[in-house]
Amino acid sequence: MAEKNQVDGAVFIVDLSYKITGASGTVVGLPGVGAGEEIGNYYGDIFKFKNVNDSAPVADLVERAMNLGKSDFDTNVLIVKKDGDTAPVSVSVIPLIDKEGRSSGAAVMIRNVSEQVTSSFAQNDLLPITVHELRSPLGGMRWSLEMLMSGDAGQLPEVAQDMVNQIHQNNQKLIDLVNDLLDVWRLDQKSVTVRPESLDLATAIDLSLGEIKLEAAAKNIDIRTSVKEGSLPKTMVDPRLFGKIIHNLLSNAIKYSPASGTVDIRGGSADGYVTVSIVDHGMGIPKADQNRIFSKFFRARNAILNEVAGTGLGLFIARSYAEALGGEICFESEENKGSTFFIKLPIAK
Amino acid sequence: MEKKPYIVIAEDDPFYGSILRTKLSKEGFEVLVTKNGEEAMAALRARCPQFLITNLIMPVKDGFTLLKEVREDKDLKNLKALVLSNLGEEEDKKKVLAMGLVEYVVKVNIALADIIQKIKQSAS
Repeated sequence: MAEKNQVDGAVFIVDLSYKITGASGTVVGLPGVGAGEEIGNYYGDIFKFKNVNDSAPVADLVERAMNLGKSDFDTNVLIVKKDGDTAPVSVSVIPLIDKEGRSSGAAVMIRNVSEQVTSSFAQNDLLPITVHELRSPLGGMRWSLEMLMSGDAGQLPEVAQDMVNQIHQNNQKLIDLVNDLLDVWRLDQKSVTVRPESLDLATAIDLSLGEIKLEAAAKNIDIRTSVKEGSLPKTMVDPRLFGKIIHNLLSNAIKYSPASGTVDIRGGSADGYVTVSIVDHGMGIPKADQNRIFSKFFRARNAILNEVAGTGLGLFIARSYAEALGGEICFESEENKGSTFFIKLPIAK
Repeated sequence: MEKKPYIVIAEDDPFYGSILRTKLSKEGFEVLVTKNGEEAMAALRARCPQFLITNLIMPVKDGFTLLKEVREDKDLKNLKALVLSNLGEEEDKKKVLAMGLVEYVVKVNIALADIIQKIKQSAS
């Protein structure tokens, strides 16, 4: 551990032949630099680097920065300590120029990042475990509430039925939130697995409609679909990812529609692509917010003002998944008139 | 009277265990809820059911091991099973599906009525 208030890292300057002309600082497990012993040595003899993965070696990093006259950095480097053990460091290279504007060497900064690495590993592991731990009680509550709602514990008085319905809706919001967090975590980790299969989208849409029927019923929203089995060419998609896209778009359509409104699902195909559109007649997206609605955690102003619950993750996930399937999502929207979202996916060959 | 179809459940969380027991008994199944893979395996060997429902993460013996042992047992290898877990990782799902004769459902993402319907279709 570096002493308090002391930066755990070192800086050195090399000339055009990569010899050290000045150095200062400490890296844990390495001899302190700055006593003058390292001056004149090839920097690689004093600071021994290894690469964590297959990225370019550090020597290339220093050389490249000097040749291109451009700063560069690598956060995935290991430094070999005296005992042969390694420590993760980040390396930044800043090329130096002389009075005439010619390259004269480079300043190299090394920073020990052991603690950052450990804490980001911990964070990475923490999320899926937390999601699993949250899902267990949430799922148990969901099923118990559904038993109460279906009269398994006897007929409830009307007031109690309303309360149970509301608890169920709120529980469902928590379930959606933890599922969304897991999806975003997978996207951030680039660990989304795509297993495409030739699929009639009507089957997947029906499945999503089944999942969302309670949400729609709570607002008395009528969801009509003109996509029937066989009405669209088969598409190469991963059913889980496609289901999630439809779920998120339908859930938005329900949320942003007035009570007793209608939502339409339509389909069509042209130029090697199938397009499914989801049409609502709700509050729409203000013009000023339209270019940001796919950003993570972004929420349109009217959605916040009208206190529509949401995390700002649904569209981010939907678009990321559509892209992972080789397709895209776009929309048309007018405030107070409604929105139509189009999902375009390649037809199976 | 026709004999009731028999289902063995391996579920360490008593919350889920009791919900499934209540619902499936009402639907006319004979239900035995065990608390882990070891208890479940003993119950399966004592009397082979029509259907097995198992969680994955459980103490003593987990669902992965239970399914593996079921598939290796000459009397149980054709037993149809349903994994009801809250693990959502694709790797876990792949590992389970590779064992054959098994469906995988994430508990939190399915309505109780739908899972009961699924079990009725698979177990009868």
